[in-house]
Amino acid sequence: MKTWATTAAMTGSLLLGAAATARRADAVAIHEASRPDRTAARDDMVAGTLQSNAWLTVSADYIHRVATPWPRRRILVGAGLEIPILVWLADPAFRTSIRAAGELVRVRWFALVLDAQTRLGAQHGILNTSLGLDLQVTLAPSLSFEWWSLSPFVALRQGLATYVHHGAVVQEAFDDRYPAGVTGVRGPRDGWLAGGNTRVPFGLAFGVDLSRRVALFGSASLVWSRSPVGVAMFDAMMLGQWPFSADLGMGWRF
Amino acid sequence: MRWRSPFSLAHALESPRTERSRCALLHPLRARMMFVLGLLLLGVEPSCIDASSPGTLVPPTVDQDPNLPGMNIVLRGAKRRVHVRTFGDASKPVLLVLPGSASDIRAYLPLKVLADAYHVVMYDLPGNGLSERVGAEDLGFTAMTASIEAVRQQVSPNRPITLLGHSWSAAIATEYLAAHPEAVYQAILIEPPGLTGAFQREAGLALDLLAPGYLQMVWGSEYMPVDHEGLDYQMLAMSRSEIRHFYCPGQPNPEWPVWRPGALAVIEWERSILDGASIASYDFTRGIDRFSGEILLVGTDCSPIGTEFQKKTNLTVLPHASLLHIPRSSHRILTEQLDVLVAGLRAFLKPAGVPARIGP
Repeated sequence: MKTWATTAAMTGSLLLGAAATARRADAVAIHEASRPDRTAARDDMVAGTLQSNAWLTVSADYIHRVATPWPRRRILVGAGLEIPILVWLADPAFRTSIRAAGELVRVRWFALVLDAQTRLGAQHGILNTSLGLDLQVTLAPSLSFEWWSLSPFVALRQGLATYVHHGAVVQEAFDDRYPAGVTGVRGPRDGWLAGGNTRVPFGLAFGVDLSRRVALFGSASLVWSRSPVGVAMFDAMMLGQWPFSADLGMGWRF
Repeated sequence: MRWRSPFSLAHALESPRTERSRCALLHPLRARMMFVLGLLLLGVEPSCIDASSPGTLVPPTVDQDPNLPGMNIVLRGAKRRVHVRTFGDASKPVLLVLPGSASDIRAYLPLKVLADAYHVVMYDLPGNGLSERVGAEDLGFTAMTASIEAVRQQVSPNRPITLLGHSWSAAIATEYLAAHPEAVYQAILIEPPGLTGAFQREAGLALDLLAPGYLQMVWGSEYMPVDHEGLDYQMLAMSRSEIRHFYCPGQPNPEWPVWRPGALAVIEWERSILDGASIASYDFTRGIDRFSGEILLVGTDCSPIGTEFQKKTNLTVLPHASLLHIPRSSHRILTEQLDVLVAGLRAFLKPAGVPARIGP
């Protein structure tokens, strides 16, 4: 059942043209969703972001404002594509996602923004070729004024499923383990791993409207991760677990 | 050689994979992203795997796989099983080999050539290699030292042993020498890190966070589990990633065969010598002056903790120590300059001098 649900979700992502907002390009959605709506204009946005993930990741996002029966309630949907430049130079890797964001509450200059996104990442690397799916829900109490916003945020990012096809490095790890004449467990096994990483990014996002059409946005955050074996935030950097993240980008409304 | 598309059905059917499941035909296919997406769109259900099931991501440990040779020891009051390999005549003096961190016996198997003079015993430290996984609380250096004594009690209870440790295990071996000086006749310490915090500060804990293999890990770790098996799996990549400079300039990263690198052990050991972002004060040599045997320090050209580092630091505090320099090698001496290493070890070792009994 779980597999079919995952399949359905991924298929849905694809059919929707899933390209997505990058992992920390959330600032653009938070800023756009929290903007005071004085015009009720249906302004869409395209945005480009530079992220710290794997030192240099670029992402492109498209955010579309959904027409609703409540003209002063901002609801956005978005899609994007994220490419880690330095990783890509060695082997292909990218991530796509789709998102929905909106105001839950607005009281004058205060807006509580909820942003949910599903991300689909593909990679061919040292260990495997993989395809991972995760979900991130972000809550941002935003101070939002006419031309700028400042938003502390906390997010829950949960791995849902990952398909792994192990490469030669992993297969070789299973060779020659037994004394002569003994055979035993074979491996590794390819397939879908259910669940995965649980991470909680928390930090501060900002957005500034440089003009009616151009916005600058960014964020900085720490990333807490939950490990069943007690590996804390800064312990596993050698294994690629980065406990921090930052991004800076620009968007154009049209 | 004819190129074949990794997505071709013919490739799938011919691919020599050993593990077959209900989606057996799908497994051999290269799981390039577009292919998997194609499967999803077609409604095909690939099989699910359990990361914690033995043999899914990394080889099962000795407690999970009865076909592996092992030994039971008691560690901090609990029975633990460790992965052990022995070579040579059990009546000869024991040479006990301790693999370094993120490693296991596998890279050290060539040292079985010393079985002409010794009963060579190699074991994976608890939580490392194919030995049973243990929690962080059982991965401290004191527990590792206790495991050496527990193994020695079984393989050479009455006669002193010769002890060889590499890298982190050389530091653990030093602590063992200080705690059980009477139990060791000679000791070989191959490129230990700084045996005190002050020494290690000279070398630092340099990580090359721009190494391409490392950046792949950064990207891929988003989705992989961070339980024991997931961390061990990631550590397989770490040893190939060049995040640590285990190679001479202009040379490729040397091969380092490993079955299961114990990720949590490496994390715990490095965490234990850090105080925030800096190296804490610690001392593996406390009491080492009670050890009266000979010590051979081994260093190399290219390692950040190579010959020059050993000469300036560890050699100054170890009693009765000499230094063996291995040229044209980095930290992975066993795969880079095995013959030179073995020749140097043979020149140092005195199997005929090992007393028949411990004590005066």
